[in-house]
Amino acid sequence: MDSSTFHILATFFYLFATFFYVAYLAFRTRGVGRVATSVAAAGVVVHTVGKGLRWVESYRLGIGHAPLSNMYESMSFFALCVMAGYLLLEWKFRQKTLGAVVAPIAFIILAANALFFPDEIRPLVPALQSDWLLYHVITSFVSYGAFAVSFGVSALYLVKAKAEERGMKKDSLLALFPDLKFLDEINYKSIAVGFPLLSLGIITGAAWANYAWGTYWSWDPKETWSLITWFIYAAYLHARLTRGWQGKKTAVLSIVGFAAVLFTYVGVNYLISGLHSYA
Amino acid sequence: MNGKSEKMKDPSSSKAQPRGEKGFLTTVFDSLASVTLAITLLIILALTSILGTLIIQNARPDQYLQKYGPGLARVFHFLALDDMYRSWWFLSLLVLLLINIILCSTKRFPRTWKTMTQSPEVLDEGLFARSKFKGSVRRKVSPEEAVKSAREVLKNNYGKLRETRGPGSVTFFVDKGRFGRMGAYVVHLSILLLALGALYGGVMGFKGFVALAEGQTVDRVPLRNRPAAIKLGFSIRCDDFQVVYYPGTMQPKDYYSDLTILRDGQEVLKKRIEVNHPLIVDGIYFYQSSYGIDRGSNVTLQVLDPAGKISGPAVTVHPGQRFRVMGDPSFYVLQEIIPNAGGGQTGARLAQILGGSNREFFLLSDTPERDRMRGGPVYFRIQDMDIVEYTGLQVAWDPGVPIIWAACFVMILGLYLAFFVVHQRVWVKVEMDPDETAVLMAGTTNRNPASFEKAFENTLSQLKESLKR
Repeated sequence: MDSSTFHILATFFYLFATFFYVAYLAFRTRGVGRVATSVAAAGVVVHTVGKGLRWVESYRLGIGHAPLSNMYESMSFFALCVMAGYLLLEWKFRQKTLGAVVAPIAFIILAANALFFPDEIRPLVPALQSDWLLYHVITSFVSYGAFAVSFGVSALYLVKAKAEERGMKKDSLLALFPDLKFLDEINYKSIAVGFPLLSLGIITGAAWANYAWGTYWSWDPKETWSLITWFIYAAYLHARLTRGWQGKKTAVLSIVGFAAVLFTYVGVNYLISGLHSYA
Repeated sequence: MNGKSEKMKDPSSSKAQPRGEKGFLTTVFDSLASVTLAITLLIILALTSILGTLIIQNARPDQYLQKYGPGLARVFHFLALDDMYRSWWFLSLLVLLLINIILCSTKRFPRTWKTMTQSPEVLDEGLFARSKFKGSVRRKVSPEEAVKSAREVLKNNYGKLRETRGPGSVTFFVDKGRFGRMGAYVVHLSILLLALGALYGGVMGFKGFVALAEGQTVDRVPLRNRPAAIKLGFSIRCDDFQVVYYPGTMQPKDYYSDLTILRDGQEVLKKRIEVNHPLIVDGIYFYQSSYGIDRGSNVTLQVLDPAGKISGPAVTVHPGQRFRVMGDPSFYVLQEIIPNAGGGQTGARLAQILGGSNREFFLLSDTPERDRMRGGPVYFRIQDMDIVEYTGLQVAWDPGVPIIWAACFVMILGLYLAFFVVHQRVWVKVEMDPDETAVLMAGTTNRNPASFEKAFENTLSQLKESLKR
């Protein structure tokens, strides 16, 4: 089996995990919850194996490089970070209900990836042939994964808060999700992990740029958008930690922050041209 | 549950001074030192930065005219949106943020320092009442036994602790991760360092670009942002330039230049540079950044009539050169020499100008009759090519870079302190009452109260358990 097969398998595992997490939400039986977690974890394992295999395959083709060099490879890594990050949260907080929101996101990313981006292993352009590729992409994408989680709980927060204002029924679907306080806390915690990692991603990018191009910062659109993202999350942290913002206001800021993450990642490549046009 | 359970009070809102009596300067100072200004500036910086990614930066004036029309082009130029990250207003915003960071941090620092270094070591009634986490137990055990148990339980759960003996009571004090409180200040310091490094590098250093043809030697480099050149203090020569392609493709795998450094005409250093592997001489970096065909290259073309017979003398032309051939009213221009046109062949792109029309066509070395299809009084074949490549070298000297890396290191340290080091304090007081011994426990944390509470409750129940025996 080659790495593409593993990617397809992982896509299906995430789809099945979605079904089981939704079923868990509806029935709340321990068994269903266990199955959901196992399927999701199996997906992560298969996905990781697929990534490792792709790395090996690139060496067999004589163009060896970490599988993090273009849209297809980075999207796949993004989905992996989201799912692995979620499982970590699930284990830490013993809270399985959010899986019904996160697993479909990972599924959609992988499915869209297979539809829109060619999965062929391409040789690296000279600018990417550096060890910095690994450090820069891993720090950046783990932070994207954390921000994706904060986005998910913020969106859920806003929907649930609105429903509660309107007088939510006890048996409504939303009542099955964790309470607002918990969602707000997860929002902060994922940003508290994502922000230092985003800073590291920007720093490793600057170090690499300085080594490859002779300037650590050139206001390239990708750099600028990563800084815009950094500004927004910095504003979030100041608002929350020193001005005591909570709930709706911070949920909105967190959603704006993730919009900036998506634009930094995808939007810049397709809408603006610049130095950083591989992924 | 929230980020900080003990919310930092903004000193500007202290009640000591009623608002009406504040002087103008105090008001200005307070707003410059406020977190509200920090948040506002961060959001304004985020929004304005978007503009510079949508409008092309540092292009030629005619490119703005062409792309945006005269009206918008004038507006962009007036607001410096064509070079906005160096514009006066953007730099002012950054300077304002730096002032805000300095004032805000200096204003808050003494209070934080005090909380960090001058924690009360005894648990009085006020402190017990104020503490968010607390509990107590009364038992008929001897005070000595209670002290011993408390010490043991605390040591097992929290590690290092301090012991204060007062009249009729003993207090144990646990003070963990207090440097976590310095995190925000360390990050702020790193941002000031970044600004310092950028300023120092910008004022003292230079950035230039030189296109060096194979065999050419230079001792000065034109600067990028100013119409001036910098003297290197040595000479640099390009001996050879090579592009290696991935087999069977036109995608470059690598490109490199063999460079020689000369001092007073003597070769002192030879090095091959490639992308991601620069050459450093006297602190000046030479980066492989681009390549191309030098204007000194030429192509020799055979001129043939439609029957395939040589119709005139061969012509030798340089890139960009306009030429005519016998028996043809058109003008021709050699637009580009293509050293790798796929499959190891060479090629050339030309344009034919006849009347007002301009028509492009290609010549390929492996299919010499290709141009016959074009139709016309003559066609061309590539007879010979003399390619001189140039290597595009980015030349930079930035003495601010070490400060930048130091700042990055400080920032990572600060972020680690701010998010992963939690200041937790726990007091346990054993009161020696004549009737029974009272044990009071109180605790505070500056972050992550949920997990603090778990550990606190756990310790408290262990304490209660140990006093039963």
